[in-house]
Amino acid sequence: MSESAPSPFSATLPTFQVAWDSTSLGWYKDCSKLYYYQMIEGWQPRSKGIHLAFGGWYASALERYAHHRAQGHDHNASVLAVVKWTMNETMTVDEDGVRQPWDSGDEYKNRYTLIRSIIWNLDDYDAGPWRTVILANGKPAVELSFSFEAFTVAGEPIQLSGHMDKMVENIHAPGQVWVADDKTTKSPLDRNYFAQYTPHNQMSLYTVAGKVVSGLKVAGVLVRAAQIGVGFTRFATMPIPRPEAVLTEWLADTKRWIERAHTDAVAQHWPMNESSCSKFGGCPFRSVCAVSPSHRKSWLKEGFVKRTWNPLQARGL
Amino acid sequence: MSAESTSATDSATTTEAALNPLATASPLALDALFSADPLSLDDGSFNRLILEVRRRRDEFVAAEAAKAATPKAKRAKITPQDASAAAALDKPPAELDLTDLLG
Repeated sequence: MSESAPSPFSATLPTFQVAWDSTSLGWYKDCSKLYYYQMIEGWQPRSKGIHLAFGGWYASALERYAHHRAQGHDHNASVLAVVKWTMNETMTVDEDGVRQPWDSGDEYKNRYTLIRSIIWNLDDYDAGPWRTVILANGKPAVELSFSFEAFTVAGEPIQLSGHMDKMVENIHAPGQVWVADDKTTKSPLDRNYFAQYTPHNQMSLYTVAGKVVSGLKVAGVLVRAAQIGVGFTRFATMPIPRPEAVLTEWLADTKRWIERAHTDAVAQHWPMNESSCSKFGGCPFRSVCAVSPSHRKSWLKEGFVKRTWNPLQARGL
Repeated sequence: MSAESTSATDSATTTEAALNPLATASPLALDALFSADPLSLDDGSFNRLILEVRRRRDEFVAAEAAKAATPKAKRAKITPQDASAAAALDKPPAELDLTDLLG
């Protein structure tokens, strides 16, 4: 995180967040105690985790590819540049200062399957019908950090923020624009997999943001999912549409959620939502919430590190 | 994976392999490339790595195509109950026309 990004919290009520992205909103919706630990206190699990590391490198590599293409490089030169970058980026330094290839210990998500998934994805995408939108200013719609005022809560303007990798349109249906988002999973890319994105916090926010940022008719999010197997990576691309009335409802709901966050901040009390503890393989803060409040600080210091999350931090290469 | 991309990659791989036997890395060579510090590799090494990864993709695509051609393979169909399909149509169920979706 850069020091230059403005604080996402209110100047008058420092535990009230006034700039929200889909990640922090998702934390709050899951559990306001989880949100308090991660967003307000800035605690994150000590180990980044295989899935986060893999997903982060994967997304960064695809973003870099779009950047190279936007600079006028051809497909093969851009793939080469991205593979070199990823191979370097996935080197770790051991205690003796020796560079070693990242060893995830996972047969699905490891350095080889990462490189394989990137190359297969980029080749497949290049041959497909989706092309990056060119904005009115002549620039390609890639690496779009956004932040716009959506409404006010308790008299404070609330910003919705985030980062879109790119906006695309189908060469067979020009004019219908989609926000592109890449995902990785071990799950089969069937109806159940894509069902999770409707309704979905991030998909609704990105559709709203796409409309605001581009001024174009954005139909929804184009999810490009990669199923990571031991010996293969399989891809599926699915448009996730959002009707206008559904977006209006999502915005109204979001305002209510943030009003709740304001209530929590005023009361200085962020209640636990125990029904979320087992979601997504188990909440990382489960062991912290399991002990008496007086012992929690030492549990946090033991298993977590301070790594602040700022939705106003612009990304880009 | 589109047919176009597969055939184009096939052709590129075959041509390069014919011109330069070292252009396609063996599985052993791929292990060595992944074990090496990338700072010590030149562009030729990275290109060999990319070609081998693409060759494995072509093998996988061919195997998938063969599997899909068997009578047992059935394609899942979208129904109006799918949330994304419902959102795309944005109509009450009684007004759904399946041809909108499946056509």
